Amino acid sequence: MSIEQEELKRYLYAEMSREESDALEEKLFLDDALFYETVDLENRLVDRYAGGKLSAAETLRFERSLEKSPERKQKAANAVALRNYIEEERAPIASVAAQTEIATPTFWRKLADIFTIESPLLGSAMAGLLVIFTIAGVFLVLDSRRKGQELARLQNEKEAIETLQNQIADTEKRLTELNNQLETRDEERDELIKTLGSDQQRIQQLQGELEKPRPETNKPLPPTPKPAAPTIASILLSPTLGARGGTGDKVKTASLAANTKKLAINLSLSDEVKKEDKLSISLNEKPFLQNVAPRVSADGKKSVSLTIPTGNLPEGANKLTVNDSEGKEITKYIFNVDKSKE
Amino acid sequence: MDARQPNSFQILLEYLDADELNASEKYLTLHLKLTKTLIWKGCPEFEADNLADTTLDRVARKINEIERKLAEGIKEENGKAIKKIENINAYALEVNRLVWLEHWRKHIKPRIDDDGELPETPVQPADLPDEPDVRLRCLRKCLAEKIPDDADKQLILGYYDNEFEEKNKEIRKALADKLGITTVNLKVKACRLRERLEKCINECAARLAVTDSPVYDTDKRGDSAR
Repeated sequence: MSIEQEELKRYLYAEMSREESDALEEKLFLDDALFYETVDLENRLVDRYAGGKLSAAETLRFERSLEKSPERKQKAANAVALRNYIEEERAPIASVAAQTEIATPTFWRKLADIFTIESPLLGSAMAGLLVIFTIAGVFLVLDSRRKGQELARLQNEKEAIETLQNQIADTEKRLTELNNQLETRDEERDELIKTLGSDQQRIQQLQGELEKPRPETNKPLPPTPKPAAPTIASILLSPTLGARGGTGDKVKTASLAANTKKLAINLSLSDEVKKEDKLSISLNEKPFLQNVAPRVSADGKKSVSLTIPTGNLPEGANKLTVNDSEGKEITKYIFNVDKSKE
Repeated sequence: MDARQPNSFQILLEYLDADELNASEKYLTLHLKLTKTLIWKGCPEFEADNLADTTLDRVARKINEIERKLAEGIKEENGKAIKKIENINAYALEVNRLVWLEHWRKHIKPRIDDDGELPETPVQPADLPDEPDVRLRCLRKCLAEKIPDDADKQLILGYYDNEFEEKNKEIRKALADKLGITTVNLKVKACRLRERLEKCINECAARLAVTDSPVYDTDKRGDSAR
């Protein structure tokens, strides 16, 4: 045991004079390693006392100190409890391992044996060196911990910056996409405006055409500029002859172009026809329509509309006959079909 | 601790070390030094804890006062130069002695016999306080409550396992290696953990002694001073 440890023992056993004790306390307050060595030494002494491992002389010194440091009684009682607890908790495997460790010295144990100090003077010197290395070690550990924390903080900041950069890149990409969409929409809008302009022009043209004076009904319809769809010709006929009267007007002619597929005919009925009458119509003496109700206009005039495929209309004179529900002839309509424009 | 101004406390920490982590480590060590030296003088544990706090209160206030005066440009008072405290540990030790002396005169001296002589009869093991079962019960409870970290528990069990006492050095070296710390740090950690554990056991045992049966005489504690 080093002299230093014996001094510490004397301090712990309250065997020092006031001056000695004050001087050692000053050392303890200036040297953390020495302080913890003192605390550790007290624990070791208490544990050995509690385990009955102190020599008789040492036991006497220890027990005397209990009167001057009564708290140590509690430490001794705690040491008994701790020893019992450790014995309870000690795993059999750990015990075997520890015994194996003792039986077969490891590399570290051999190394430790090499550095085992027998000389107290050399021991003190080594202890001094150990304290210096210890302080340096503590400093390095704390410094390393601080640097580690700083590094962790910097890494966190770096990650945060990278996240923000990614967010900015995403936002820029999204902005570019939106700009592209906006440009596409602008182009579509321009296209629509153009289409609208041409449509308006077309509407104006159509309106202009509508405003032109209509050709007379007995004249053939002007040819359709673009015969994309089947064309329907129309004609308004008044009664020619009949039991219930007729106008005896000049026979009208329906001029049919080559692409005219149907002829719409409006038959103006005489006032004698009642609106509840169910009419039947024959074309060139052949039945064409049955149970047709006359249409009554706002001014009370009655008429019937029908559409005849041009294939059913022979070139030249054609006759439509309107009969009542009992089959009695009401009136006749004579008209000419001119297919010469084919 | 509650009476301490946060500002003063902060300045005390800054005096101990510029780095917060180091400062808190040094504060804990300083508090333990104050407590242990008081106990080694014969002060009861619960009083030692309070007296250490009182000491640190006074040190912190003094530092604050010095800082304030220096900030106000006051460099001298009653013919004495006002200077910053260079060594907080040494200064705290002086204050601690004063605090202990005040406490001893006020509370402990009246308990001692008129002639001031202390009993010389050695204490026998039978005089150890309370039953081992009570302490063991308290130890289990305190380990669970105060040392929840499993690594810390293993450290205590390994460090204070004296079955192979003659090989303690090697065992502790192996333990330090296993925990990735130096043997010095292992010793510091083990001492602190044991202090924490023992404080808890003492409080627990005292409570059980009051509630169950008074197994030891607390009046005998703290009747000496060096």
